[in-house]
Amino acid sequence: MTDSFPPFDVRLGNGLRVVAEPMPWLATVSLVLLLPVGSANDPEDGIGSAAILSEWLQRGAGERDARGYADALDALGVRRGGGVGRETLSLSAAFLQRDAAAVLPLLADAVRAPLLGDASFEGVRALALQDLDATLDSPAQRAGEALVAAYFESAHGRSAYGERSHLERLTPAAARADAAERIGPEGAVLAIAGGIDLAALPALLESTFGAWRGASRDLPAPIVRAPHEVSVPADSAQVQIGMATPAVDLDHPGWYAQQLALAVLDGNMGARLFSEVREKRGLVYSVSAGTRLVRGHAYLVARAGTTPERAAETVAVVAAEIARLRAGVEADELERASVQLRSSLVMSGEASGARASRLASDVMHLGRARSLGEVDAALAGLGLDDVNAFLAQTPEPRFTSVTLGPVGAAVAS
Amino acid sequence: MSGLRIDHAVLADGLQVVGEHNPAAASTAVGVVIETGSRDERPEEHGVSHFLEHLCFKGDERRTGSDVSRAFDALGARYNAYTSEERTVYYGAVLPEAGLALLELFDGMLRPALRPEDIELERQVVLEEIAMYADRPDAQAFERGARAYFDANAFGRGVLGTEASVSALDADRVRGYWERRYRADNQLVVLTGHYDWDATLRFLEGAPRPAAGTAERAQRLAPTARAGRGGARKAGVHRAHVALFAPGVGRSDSRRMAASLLAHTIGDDDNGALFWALVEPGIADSAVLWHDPADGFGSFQAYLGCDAGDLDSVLERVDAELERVQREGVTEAAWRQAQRTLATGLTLRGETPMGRLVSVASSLLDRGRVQGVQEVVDEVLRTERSAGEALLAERPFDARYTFVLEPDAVTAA
Repeated sequence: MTDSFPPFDVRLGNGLRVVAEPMPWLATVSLVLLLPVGSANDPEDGIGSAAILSEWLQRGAGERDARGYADALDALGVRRGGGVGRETLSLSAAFLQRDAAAVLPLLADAVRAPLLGDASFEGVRALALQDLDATLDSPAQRAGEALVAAYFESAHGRSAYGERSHLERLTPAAARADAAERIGPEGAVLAIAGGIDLAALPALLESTFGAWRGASRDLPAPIVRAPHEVSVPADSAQVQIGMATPAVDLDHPGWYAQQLALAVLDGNMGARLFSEVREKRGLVYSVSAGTRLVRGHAYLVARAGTTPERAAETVAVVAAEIARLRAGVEADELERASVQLRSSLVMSGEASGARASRLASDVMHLGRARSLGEVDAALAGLGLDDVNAFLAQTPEPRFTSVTLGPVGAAVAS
Repeated sequence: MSGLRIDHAVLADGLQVVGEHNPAAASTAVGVVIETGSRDERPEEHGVSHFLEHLCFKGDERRTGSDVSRAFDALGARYNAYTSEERTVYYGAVLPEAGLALLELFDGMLRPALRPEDIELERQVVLEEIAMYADRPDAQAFERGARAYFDANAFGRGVLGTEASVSALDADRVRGYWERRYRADNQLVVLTGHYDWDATLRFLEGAPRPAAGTAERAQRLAPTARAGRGGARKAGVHRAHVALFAPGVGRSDSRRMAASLLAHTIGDDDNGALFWALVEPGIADSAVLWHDPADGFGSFQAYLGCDAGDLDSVLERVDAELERVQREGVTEAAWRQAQRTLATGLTLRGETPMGRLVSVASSLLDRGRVQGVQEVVDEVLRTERSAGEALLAERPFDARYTFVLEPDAVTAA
């Protein structure tokens, strides 16, 4: 099964990797383009340049100005999305299958022939500053940013929103030079899922994304700091809690055992975290834990929000539950986790957007796309002994933690 | 999308059951819609609809809250619930073989035990939820703005309730509300995807529903809308958050589609008139407008986030744009673009049974029959620009109410 999946997996002459999975019962197509461009490989003196480029790429392309470009996509009913993170800049789109031949050239234009005009630059910069400032009014987001900054020593700790002083200094010329050095096809992934016609795809790609030229820039290797605690003062009703500890990566033999164990921890409302933190103790409305991936490193992030007087207990219970995984899981817990992950997998195969995102992320992090069948078989092949053997040899968690909230509410774990 | 079948039945006790059967679907989605929400609460019950929704997950006479959570997880369900001003919806999706078990679980849950110890614990969770939203100034702008705009009507009072109102809810009050509102004839069971209709009816006909009988038809008084401007300052807020309200049309009104399309041309986040006036030049980080149809009336609502120092110029531009749209109308090109993007969105959401669930339920409840995806898409594409212009001719934005949440003097300094 892995040999024949995905049914379309090619590297174009310019280096762009394209993977596609037909879902022939759908009239819709979803497409995700991931570029290895983010704050982690922003220029040293231009942190936020990727955030600028992510927006600027959409302000006109080919022969169309910003408005003309948006109108052309809308006239075809294209739903757009995208954004920028620490390691990837993404452009996504969904449209009706019958419009594919008209839509692909437009989407390719955004990376192949973006205008990057002086006239639109100040607006883009001002918006990037607005977006950065807007995080001030989202305590949960601020805590998330602070946690990543505390966890990574490498450039992965930079905020994807950039730094104010750098954004203010950045010139159109510098941003254009940056684009020329890293908005390129090499290392990028285009994933397509839905009602696509595979037979027509090669020619369509060649005339659109195949004509894309440009250089690429490597991402730095992730480096993690020694565990430590950070407290950020904020005038808020709740304390936001974030905790991070290393985990095994997607290409590690223990990945699926880890996924099952994390579903026992935080798969749903019957899982340990929800049960211990919310159901039995009423400490929070929201608590969650899951793996995050950067290239070459995976880590576990747990998040919770609670009022100040309950913060210390919340941190302690979350930390204890994560640590307790090493002692193993019960057969009934694992059974529920397995059913849940496998049902979710089937359901993720019903929606074109979810499939395209998964294909793109697989290629970015694993170098190849996994079929739903491959993931299902890997999960089904693991028994209680396998999962517990994996858990028993995992190191004790060493948390880097962040609390954001009223001064004096900082908690020691 | 061929092979779809619509099922509909009304049981002896008044319970409605509706389905959109898709034999090709890989999953089944199940929902129970109760026609009740914060709008139906008496003054001393503020927050009870949402609190009761939480308490239904805490078990019935046979199951504890943990039993319920574990039972959902054992089915591999993706599930949750939400409460709005007018509806309370419990929903989930599973693989087809677990569909009936999921329905049984929901059905049992809706006769909650309401144990005092569960009420106390869950009250803490809801108070944390209230605290979480207190830290989100955008949500605060809408909560406070709606209260003022709907001028003391229950519709604008807020779904969650306040710390004081939720603290005052005891078992008797919750039970009283449940007895009044969770009646069989006030409920709709909805199924989409791959389900067994006959088995569903057999189960529902045999299931005990002590709450059979006629739900109290409380008067849902249409709110009187206030025009003008209001606002508040709050410590800890860094930016200006604007919530705007203007009269729209109700959810059973034939002009509802035109109102959605009109809102899209003004407030779409990629290509609406407000985007080009405010976000593209980087004056606001967000400027979106949508139409919210309710029972018997509706409203256009908009959100804007900006630097507090730019507030006046932002509001001036909003005023100018809304005035321009009312004066000049919408171009044929913009109208067509709105039609196409809305149609794509509907088609995408229709890819999964879960995406269909609420649409199937609301088309039956609001318009008296189930409309398939294609039928709604056709309706979107048939709705002419003149219908939007007719709405504009009533100059709805002249009667707008604008609420601004701003930083207090200390935070702004």
